[in-house]
Amino acid sequence: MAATDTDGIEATVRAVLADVLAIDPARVARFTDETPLFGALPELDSMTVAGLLTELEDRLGIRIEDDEVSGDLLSTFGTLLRFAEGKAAR
Amino acid sequence: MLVRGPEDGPQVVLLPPLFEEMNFTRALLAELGRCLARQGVGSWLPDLPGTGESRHPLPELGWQDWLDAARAIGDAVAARAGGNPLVCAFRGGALLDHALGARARWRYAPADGAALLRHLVRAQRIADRESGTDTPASATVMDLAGYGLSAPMRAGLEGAKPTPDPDREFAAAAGALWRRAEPGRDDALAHLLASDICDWIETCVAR
Repeated sequence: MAATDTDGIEATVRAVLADVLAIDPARVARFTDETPLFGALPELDSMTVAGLLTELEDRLGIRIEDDEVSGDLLSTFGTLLRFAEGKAAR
Repeated sequence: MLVRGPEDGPQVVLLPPLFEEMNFTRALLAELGRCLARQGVGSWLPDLPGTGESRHPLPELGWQDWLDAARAIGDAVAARAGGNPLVCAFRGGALLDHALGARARWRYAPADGAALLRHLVRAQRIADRESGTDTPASATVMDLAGYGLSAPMRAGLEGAKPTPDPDREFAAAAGALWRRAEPGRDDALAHLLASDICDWIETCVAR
């Protein structure tokens, strides 16, 4: 089921990062708004980023257009989370 | 074609996921084939034209070539096995399973063709942005995440949907293998799928 409340959205974003990037969930649980993503996590190649976005779409019931995907989207955990919350709230 | 298991007993064609998803499920399908063999089920895992060991260049192929290949695979296995095989299709493999002429169809996480294409285009657009290049949609062959797809292949894929009503369907959990950063293995899932397939085969035989 698509998560639409704020806590559910945040939990989903954390879970997607843990699942797709194979990061220990305990480490993802410590991510704050300022935690850098793109550039700080290993192996964020274009196929991995695409996988992140497609998985977020499926779990949150949202649609992410290609022109919404900028380098800024994944600069921090906060930027990704704000984006997901904005999309899921519509 | 990778053939495993006994020649007597049920024969199953495993139609693999398409494009990069095949890389991510290779170990799963290998373990699945081993599990099925232990249960007395023969399995046939083909390389579609333009993939794996196939000598055909992918950019020269269209979607119809894959439908034709599925038919040819079904005929080849039927000739060897003395009867139409069963088919177990995984992800985009479910877009081709109707063409096989199989006795019955089982699917794992069937994928919509337009969604698969969209994901490849997305990955290529991200790569293009990083490198400052462009991959126009009007190109005869688009290099999408390393897969050279002709216009007929893209058009066929975009319009492809799994046919309704397979005989059995197994849903995928969130965070499945093909959504991860690195290919991996999931032997527990392989065993679970093998169990479900064997259970399904018994219902097929009982008809």
